[in-house]
Amino acid sequence: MVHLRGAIILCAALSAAWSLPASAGWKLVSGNQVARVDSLSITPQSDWNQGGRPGEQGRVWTQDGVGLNAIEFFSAVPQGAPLYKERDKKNNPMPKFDSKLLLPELADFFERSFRAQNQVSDFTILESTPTDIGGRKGLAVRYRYTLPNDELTRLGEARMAVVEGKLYVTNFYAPQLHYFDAGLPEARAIMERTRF
Amino acid sequence: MMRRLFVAAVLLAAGPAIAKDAAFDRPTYAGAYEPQGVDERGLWMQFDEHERGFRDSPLVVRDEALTRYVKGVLCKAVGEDRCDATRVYVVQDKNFNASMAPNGLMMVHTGLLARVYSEAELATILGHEFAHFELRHSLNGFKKRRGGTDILAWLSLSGAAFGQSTAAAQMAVVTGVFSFNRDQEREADFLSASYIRASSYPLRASIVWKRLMEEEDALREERKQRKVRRATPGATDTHPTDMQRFAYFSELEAQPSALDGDDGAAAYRDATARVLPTLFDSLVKSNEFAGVDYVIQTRGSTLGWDGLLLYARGELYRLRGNPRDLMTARQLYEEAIATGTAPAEAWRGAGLTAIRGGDSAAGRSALTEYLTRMPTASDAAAMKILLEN
Repeated sequence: MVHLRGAIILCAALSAAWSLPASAGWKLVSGNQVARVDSLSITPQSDWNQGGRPGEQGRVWTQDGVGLNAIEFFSAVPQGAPLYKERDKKNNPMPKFDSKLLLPELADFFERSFRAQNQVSDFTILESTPTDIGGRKGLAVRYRYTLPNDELTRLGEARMAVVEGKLYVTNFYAPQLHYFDAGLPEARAIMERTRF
Repeated sequence: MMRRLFVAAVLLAAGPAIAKDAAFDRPTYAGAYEPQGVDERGLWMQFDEHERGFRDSPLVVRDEALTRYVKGVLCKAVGEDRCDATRVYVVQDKNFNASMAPNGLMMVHTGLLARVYSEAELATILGHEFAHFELRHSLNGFKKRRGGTDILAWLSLSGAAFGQSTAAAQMAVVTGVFSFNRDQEREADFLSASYIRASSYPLRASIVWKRLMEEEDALREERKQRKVRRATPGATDTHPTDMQRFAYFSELEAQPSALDGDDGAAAYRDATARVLPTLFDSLVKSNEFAGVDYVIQTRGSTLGWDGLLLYARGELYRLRGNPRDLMTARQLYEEAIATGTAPAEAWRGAGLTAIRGGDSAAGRSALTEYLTRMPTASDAAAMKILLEN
């Protein structure tokens, strides 16, 4: 019986390992230490898990899994490139960044990218306000959305700026139920302390 | 020969698994209907539970007038006695779709309402969904799938026992399940046509499928994809092809008096004009330019252009954002404003496209007008910064 259970656990572990996507190499990011994410220097207050790349110039961090809280960092997205990775270019092409966008239009670009990436039909920008990002003029966007076939209201807060023609975005999102409010103070602190 | 005999023997052995139940003595739409038999009771229980969560979903469009209107079209199509058994939910989803659960829960996507242009067109789709409910298609499909998996299990076991490959027979069972599904869809289409023939609406179904094909062609051409072959369905398609549906509905529409009656196009235009942003917002902000432009233009040419529709088309062009798109968008915003029915956001679009096009004086003036009309806009603070610089 013990052997059988061992074999079952081994099989389950093997099949779980087999089903993990190649990009799911999680790495611990320790709190209160400066972490380098591409060209950004980030100082989190607590420990995070660094996951794969949602975009060519992006990284995602989470504490409880990306379905519950996540913060994405995109640095130096160049003219003509998408924010999120092209996963199915033929059937679901991503919008491309245009460095000529005016400040309020960055919210439009972010919204369209987020909608395409997550196949979202329900997405509302609650507020987009000017903000300072590392001494540069940027935009803070608060939004609400629902994933398809899902009954949870989710919230997000993103900050974005164009520096020398390239787009920088940090984006925190989580379900409204507990996780958004619980994670927002640290997410904001991370965004405010991010340096290019 | 041996293999065929072997497969026939296995299918015979599995026969009881797909035996038919006794006939139901009450229709699903009868008042205070209680599901009959263990399978129907189980299925209804699952969907009752699902609906308890779903009714509070943020995806449900909370617009009583719109929901009541859609339900009213359903009732006119299938009759008051039948439609009372349903709960209609309008769901925020850009795709052309509607669905019916076995317990009477009907979901109608905003993407469907954006793509039909009369009550008669909407009625054929709602009638189709109701037909699934009346004909107990969810239950029959569930039993078919269960029977199919039973047979697959027997085939695998027997194949192993006798050392015979059963791959071909297994494939036949799987494709049989899909074929059964397509037959149910066709059956629902024909029953829907019967409802409409008995109602005050003319039968206007083929045009819906024709437009869907044209929209898909436009999008695929933009994306440089091959055209879809629609003569016959693939083995694993769940529905008849759009071309097949267009063809058999065209035949039904050619029957005497099939097209008689008021199609309710004017009523549909009036009822949906108010909610165009709800219907078109997620389409405009998707990245499906050619398909969405086809949908907007078709509504405009069929039901007429108003400020909200012209604004939606302006947004579509501005968001794609090629330099010539920005010029087109600016014209569309200005046309929207000229109708007198444009939303405040039309001035936002006009201002942004004017500034992008190098006409900052006109742009600032339009953005100032936007903020005057909508001082509490979600991006008011960002716009003020733009105006100050």
